[in-house]
Amino acid sequence: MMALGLIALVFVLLWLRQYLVVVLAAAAIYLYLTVGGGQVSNVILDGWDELQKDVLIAIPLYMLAGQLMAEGAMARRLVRIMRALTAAVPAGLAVATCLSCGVFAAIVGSSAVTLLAVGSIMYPALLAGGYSKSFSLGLLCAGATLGIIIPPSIPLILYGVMTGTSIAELFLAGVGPGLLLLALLTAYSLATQWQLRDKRWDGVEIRVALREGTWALLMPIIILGGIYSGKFTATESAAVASVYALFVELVVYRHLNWRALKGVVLDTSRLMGGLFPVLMMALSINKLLVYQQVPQMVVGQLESLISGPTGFLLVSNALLLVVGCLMDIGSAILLLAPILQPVAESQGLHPVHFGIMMTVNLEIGYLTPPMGLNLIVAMTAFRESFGFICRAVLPFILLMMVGLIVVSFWPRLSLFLIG
Amino acid sequence: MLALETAVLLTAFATLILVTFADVALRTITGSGLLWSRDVGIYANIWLSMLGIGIASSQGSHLRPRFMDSWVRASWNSWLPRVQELLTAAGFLLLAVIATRVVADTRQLGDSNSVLRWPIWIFQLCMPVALGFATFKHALFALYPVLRPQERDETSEAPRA
Repeated sequence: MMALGLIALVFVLLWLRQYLVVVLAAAAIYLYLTVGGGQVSNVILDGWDELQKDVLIAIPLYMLAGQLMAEGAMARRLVRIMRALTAAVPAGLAVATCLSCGVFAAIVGSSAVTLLAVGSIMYPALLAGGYSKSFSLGLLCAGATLGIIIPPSIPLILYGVMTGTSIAELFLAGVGPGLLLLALLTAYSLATQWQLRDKRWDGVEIRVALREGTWALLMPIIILGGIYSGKFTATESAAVASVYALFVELVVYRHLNWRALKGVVLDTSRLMGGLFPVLMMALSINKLLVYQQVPQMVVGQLESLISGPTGFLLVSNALLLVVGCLMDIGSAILLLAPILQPVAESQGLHPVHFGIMMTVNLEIGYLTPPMGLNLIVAMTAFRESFGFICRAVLPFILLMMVGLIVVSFWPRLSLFLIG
Repeated sequence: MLALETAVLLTAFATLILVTFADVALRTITGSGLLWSRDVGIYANIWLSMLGIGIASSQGSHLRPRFMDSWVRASWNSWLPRVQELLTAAGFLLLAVIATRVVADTRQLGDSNSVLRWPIWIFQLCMPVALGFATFKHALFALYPVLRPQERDETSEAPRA
């Protein structure tokens, strides 16, 4: 009865177009009133306690670094390097787009920022280079999703926070699947656009692009090198990344002024203001559920229904693909990770591997209607119809599904770096 | 109100970056970091996130699952936004009241941060303040829908056309 009441409450609030923070707050208050001993103040108190995790500091700092790079000159210079290096390769512009998305993703940790930063430069170039509108949009939308699996990744941080999984290990585990997806996109571009050759290699252009883009190229090396060498934690790496981005954009490239910087900071704060209250409520609910041993009960119920890890992988992948169509990745991780991860562990799956699989799965949600974020961003930014973009991404969704199957059933791809 | 929010927000962000980076830099150079940087960073992060609620409200960028949007009759769209804003304001008001109680309780208990030696209720104050600002804004949007910002089709990122 209590569960039915909760479901009804959530559905009515969603139907009345309530924001996720209000829906979760209502759910939390309801739960504390019914099973939490009526201690409603714990909704805020537990959320406050959970926000004391220092790893959460990494989120605004990575977001700021990404926004600075997208607004400043670093993205443009990185793309120029990739274009110069792939000029003579068949389908060179398409390969440059894939590589630019991959490198940019290794800095930003966000999909829409990658799509806009790389897309604003590469979309006109791809069209001018003879690539079809459909292929160009599909490639950009799919390539940009790499931002959430190639570390540093904000969804991976959220998964780590919600499930208590090591974020450094999640970052390490994201490398293999990220490279696999990048390779799949590149191979597909080569296979379908082989006849399109941009031009010959230009030694002068390569030298100039590398010289002017050195500062930008150092960014992923500093972030990832710092984490993987053990020099920095994920949080410290985020601090170094944001200060480095500030230094390069304000002092070296001088592309941003203080006014623009203020805009970037406020924009990042707006994103934080949307994310953190939801995170606070989700953590508060999670704490109560753990206290009430709900995950154990869910595990017990599902264990009788699902037979073995293969069955669980198939069911959870199908569930997450549907959820990815309806919900953004942040909300999906906050709501589902604490419930699904214990079940995955009970089925013998490594929590890090499951986190990566979940993220790759929800990554596909960026491309699936009706809620695919990259579809909506591309529709607005490149002024194409929603239906046209949905059709354009279709082959890339199939490609990413292949990647998802590999990631799901070959855990070693995710776990080889963490032993 | 917006100017004050902005000023506090920028200060919190600057503090977060400077303190976190200074800790890494000092530890790398001298071998020991700042003992208090973790706590200051956490509180700065909470302040900027909480005050970000108001900015998100002003710019219509709170997270909202939209898959049920088409489940209502088109004719309801004339009054549904007012109900939506009113309910949101009520939700934020409820949270603001609970947060105020939490801050008052913490103050009464005299809890203080063991590293910074500051009373914790001062840091917690950002919660009722930010939630109060958000309540006011959404109540205003319910009363004057013309002030209501257009919702942004985004989640954890910032697309700009």
